[in-house]
Amino acid sequence: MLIERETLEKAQRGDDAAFNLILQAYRKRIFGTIARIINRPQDVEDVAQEVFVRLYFSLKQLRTPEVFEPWLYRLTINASYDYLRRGKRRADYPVADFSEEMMLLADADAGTDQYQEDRRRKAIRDLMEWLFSQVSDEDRILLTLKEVEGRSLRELQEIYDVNENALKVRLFRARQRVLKAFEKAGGEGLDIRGGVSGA
Amino acid sequence: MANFDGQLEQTEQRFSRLCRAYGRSAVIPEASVNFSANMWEAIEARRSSRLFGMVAKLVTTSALAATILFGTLPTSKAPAVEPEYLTLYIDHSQAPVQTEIFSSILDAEDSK
Repeated sequence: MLIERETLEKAQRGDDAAFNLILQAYRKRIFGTIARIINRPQDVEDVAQEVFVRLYFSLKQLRTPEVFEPWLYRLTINASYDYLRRGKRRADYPVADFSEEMMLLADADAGTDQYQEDRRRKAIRDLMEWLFSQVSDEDRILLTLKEVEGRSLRELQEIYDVNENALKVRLFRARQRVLKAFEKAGGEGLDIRGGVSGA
Repeated sequence: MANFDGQLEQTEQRFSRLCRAYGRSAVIPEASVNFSANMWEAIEARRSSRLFGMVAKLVTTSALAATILFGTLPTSKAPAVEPEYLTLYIDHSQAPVQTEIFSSILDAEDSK
């Protein structure tokens, strides 16, 4: 945990200063997770605010401080899911539009200046946005946590509160669905280099 | 078959690399200077609305409980009291006029 157990208990008793400490400790991580899930930088702060407001009002319900982090991530996932469901995010990229982006990705090593790098990153974000728009919001969130954030199965089990086998099945199915879309988008010919270790 | 499996594995590896690249490419904004202040404002606003909601719920529940209570209470009926009239108005009006008193007055006048 990034905070002392005592701080958490104080916040549970309604100490606003202690709650501010939690906010300071976890803000950056929560922003990161939300940003990767929703892929809309301009809306990250709104969703993060919702997460912390929900945390404030439900903190007293937390029985064991040991599960605080998975619980906070569950709140984050739920708020992100609500955002996605409201349809604020729009992925209006027809697959054909990716030809240019694919070229950029494939040509990742060609450009070394900042402009090229920014374009490459944008292409990756757009491609992921399109890929995730092809699967359900649940799959999107699960895959982001596992594949993008690199969370372990154990962490995901705690966040989702499911057993290992159920989680593995969900992950496998989500992965199959997104891979199908990936192949459709031309993933077979895709080469993502530019600093990807082991590529 | 082995070729197909190999191709699938390659696709999976490429997808994994894409995910990792996306993790590094994601734009993670810094919190604005007003983030904390805005959050506390939102907390206050929600606290007020929750309080209002609780009061409204309490009032509604109380009203409902009172309605049910009064609805199920046995209604106590006061015993019907029959009015006791000596005579009815009609009986009284149809009765012969008591003229004795007038006769005696008239007799007294005549004797004068």
